[in-house]
Amino acid sequence: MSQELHPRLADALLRAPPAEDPAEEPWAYRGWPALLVSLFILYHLLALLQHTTPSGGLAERFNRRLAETLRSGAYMRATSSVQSWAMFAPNPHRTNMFLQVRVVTSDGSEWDLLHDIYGRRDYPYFFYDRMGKINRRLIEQERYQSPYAAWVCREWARTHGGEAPVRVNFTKLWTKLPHPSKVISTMGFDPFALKLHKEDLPGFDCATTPHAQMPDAIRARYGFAPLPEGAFIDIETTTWHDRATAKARILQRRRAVEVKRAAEEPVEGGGAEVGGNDGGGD
Amino acid sequence: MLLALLAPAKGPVIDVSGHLSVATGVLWLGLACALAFFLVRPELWRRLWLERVDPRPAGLFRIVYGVVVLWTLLDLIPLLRFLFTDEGLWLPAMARKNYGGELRRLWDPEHGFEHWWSVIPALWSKFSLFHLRADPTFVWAVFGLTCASVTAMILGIKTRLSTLASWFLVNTFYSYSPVFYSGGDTVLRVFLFLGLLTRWGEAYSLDAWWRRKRELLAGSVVVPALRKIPAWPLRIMMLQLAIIYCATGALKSGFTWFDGTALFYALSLDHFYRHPAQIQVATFLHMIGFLPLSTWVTKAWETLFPLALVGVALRRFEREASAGTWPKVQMWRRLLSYALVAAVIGALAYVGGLAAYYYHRPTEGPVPLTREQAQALVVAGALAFPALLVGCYLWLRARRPQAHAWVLRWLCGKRLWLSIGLVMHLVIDVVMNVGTFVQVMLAIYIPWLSAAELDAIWRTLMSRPLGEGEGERPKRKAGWRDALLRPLDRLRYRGPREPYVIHHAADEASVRRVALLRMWDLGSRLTFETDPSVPAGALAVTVPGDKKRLAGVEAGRALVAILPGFWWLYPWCLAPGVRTLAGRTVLRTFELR
Repeated sequence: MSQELHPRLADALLRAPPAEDPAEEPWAYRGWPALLVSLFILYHLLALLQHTTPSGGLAERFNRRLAETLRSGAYMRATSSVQSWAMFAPNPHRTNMFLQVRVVTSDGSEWDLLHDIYGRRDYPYFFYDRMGKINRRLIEQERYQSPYAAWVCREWARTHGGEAPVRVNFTKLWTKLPHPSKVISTMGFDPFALKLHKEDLPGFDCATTPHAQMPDAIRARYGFAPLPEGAFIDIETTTWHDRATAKARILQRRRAVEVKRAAEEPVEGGGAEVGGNDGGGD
Repeated sequence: MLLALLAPAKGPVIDVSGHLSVATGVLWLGLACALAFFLVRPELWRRLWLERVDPRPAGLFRIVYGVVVLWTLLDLIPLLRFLFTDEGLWLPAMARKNYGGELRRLWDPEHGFEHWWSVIPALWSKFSLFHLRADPTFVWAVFGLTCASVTAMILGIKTRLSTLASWFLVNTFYSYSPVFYSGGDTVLRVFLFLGLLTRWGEAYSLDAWWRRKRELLAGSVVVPALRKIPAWPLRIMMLQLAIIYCATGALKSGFTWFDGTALFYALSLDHFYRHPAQIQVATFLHMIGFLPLSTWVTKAWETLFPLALVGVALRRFEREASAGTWPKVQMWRRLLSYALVAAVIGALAYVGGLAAYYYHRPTEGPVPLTREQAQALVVAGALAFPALLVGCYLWLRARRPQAHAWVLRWLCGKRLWLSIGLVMHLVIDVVMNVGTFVQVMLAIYIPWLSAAELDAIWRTLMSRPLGEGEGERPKRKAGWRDALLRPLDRLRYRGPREPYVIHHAADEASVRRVALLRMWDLGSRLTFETDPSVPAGALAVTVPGDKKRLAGVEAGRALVAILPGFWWLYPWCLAPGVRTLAGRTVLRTFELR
């Protein structure tokens, strides 16, 4: 059954200013919690400053020792706080760079995969295209070229009945932006009328580049026949199991050598047990 | 920060071994003095980090930032297979070897982890679930789970847990390989960890709503308050933003940032412009000097951004000093703390001088200087400049109160530093496509807002512009000046809109339920009237300018416009068929009819 509310309470609920947090304590922590939180804040600040300030020149030793003391590299990696803020620094690029990606198939024909954006982007450019950035990064950071070529080989195989191409070729394309003073008279320039420079970069063979072959597990997903034995070029890795196996093998070998040596050099005392056992067996 | 400013740009390696030991010692001494400062003045440390603050800015930040995280994730959908599955760029073994940190040793594809505790060091290094398994089904499942946890974080459902899950799962994508990173992704990663440390679910969250609703319906005699939260994660966020800007400004040390051509090049790059026709506009803007000026302003604004932090601290000090709440400390502690600050500046000045000695090239530069002269100049400048700044500030404070107020309000004010940033990022977004970089950068401005400023923003959003001559708004003569100032006047002179009247029954349950509406009424647009004709557990709404009283789902739908928490329902209200559903959703939230 409904009950009428006291007018004062109705005022408090419907018209009074919103209540404040009733806790009068201005501080979030006191005592040990305050100390622990303070230590964490201090640690984070020092790690952050060590990570973001220059680590060379006169600050090199200080920065390195601070990093070692704090183990700040591990902390920044674990918390995903690794950062670098060199945006358009020290200068913005003054060249447009693209990587043309081509495959050579077993019949000798060469196909441009149109992975570069040169002259291919639709304007206005609304939706962010990370592939354009990745394509440029392949030129700036060469370490990505081999895995990228390996992926091109695998992807080609996936979309061509499991048959890999022979080779992936890269060509660096670039146009140089003119200095603004040179284009004021023409009030700008057509970016696609700039001279296109080309430079062939080292290519990658699909048969010999690590991971450029579609592994059997993925081939099975698409119903392709397994690769011939030894065709998959894996990378070298050493896990705890590999180390444990290697260690066990060494121990086993050493034990075998010791047993053999003991058997070959019968000595009094130490060798008696072995001989005794053998004798017992007979 | 100062070290970043003193750092020379990349150049030939210079042998500094002659002073390396002494520079290292001086830098350690500087660090020790900085730490000692807070030992001498612990009350400042407490004020800086251990305060409790209103949770609303953090709550709003959670929502806006969470939406940007979700947007960035959804943006990855077309590349999900390429970037993260074993049918893409990396087979997991190679990704693990290159980017898996300790996991490459601790985990074996056939035998798993050596010990159960091996998971801990694996998690401590860069960890991604995809380093263990990356078939498309698994990757899509993790992607779905990530979007779900980020959505829960945005809504504030089990906020601490959903934030932890979001941090872990989002980093599963980012830790797999860095090949696709952009600046925006770095900001996103860094602030997600800081979000993990923040109790940002105490406002604008379903967690807070459910708690307060439970308390109010259980008999609370006031509308339950929001719980204050520790300030330190928000303060670290402010510092992090200052580091981002200061570092990027200091690193922009190439000649294009000095000759004023940097922005012309940035705007003319194929990878960024929205349309090639922009190049003509950029050329024109360069010709009239606008772009060179903007280049210099950008560099200076970024490098000097930490002044905004100084401003926040100074305003706080002045406010509390005039209110008499600033802590009083013994003279010896105060003097010792000043001496320690001077020692820190002295240490940095000394190292700066050494840097000038080693890196200055006497043959370059506008004025011929020997290396010793350059060293002396830098040391003197580094010592004199802070002293001059402090002296000027104290003089203004004592002799020119108006100028002092202007310095606090504008030169060191958030409105200057954040407004320039806002304009800069909005312009970047219009003319360049840099993914969600702009959105995430603007989102991380929110921790800079105080609760009072946030209240003012809601009030402005919910208010109406005053008419010319109404209230304090001046009546301007027609002309170019009027045309120019009218939009500013509309923003500046505002008055409250007429309230929506909520009619409710007089019984306690009905009153408590309509009182729940106040928790969602951020612009104070509601007033309440008891009306015996309204049945218990129901409400009716009178919309200003409309004499008809609305009841049921129509009343619920009318409230969508003024309760920001329901703005997401607005498109529903426009679509025939689901309108009723929108109204019903609002009423259901408050258990009303």
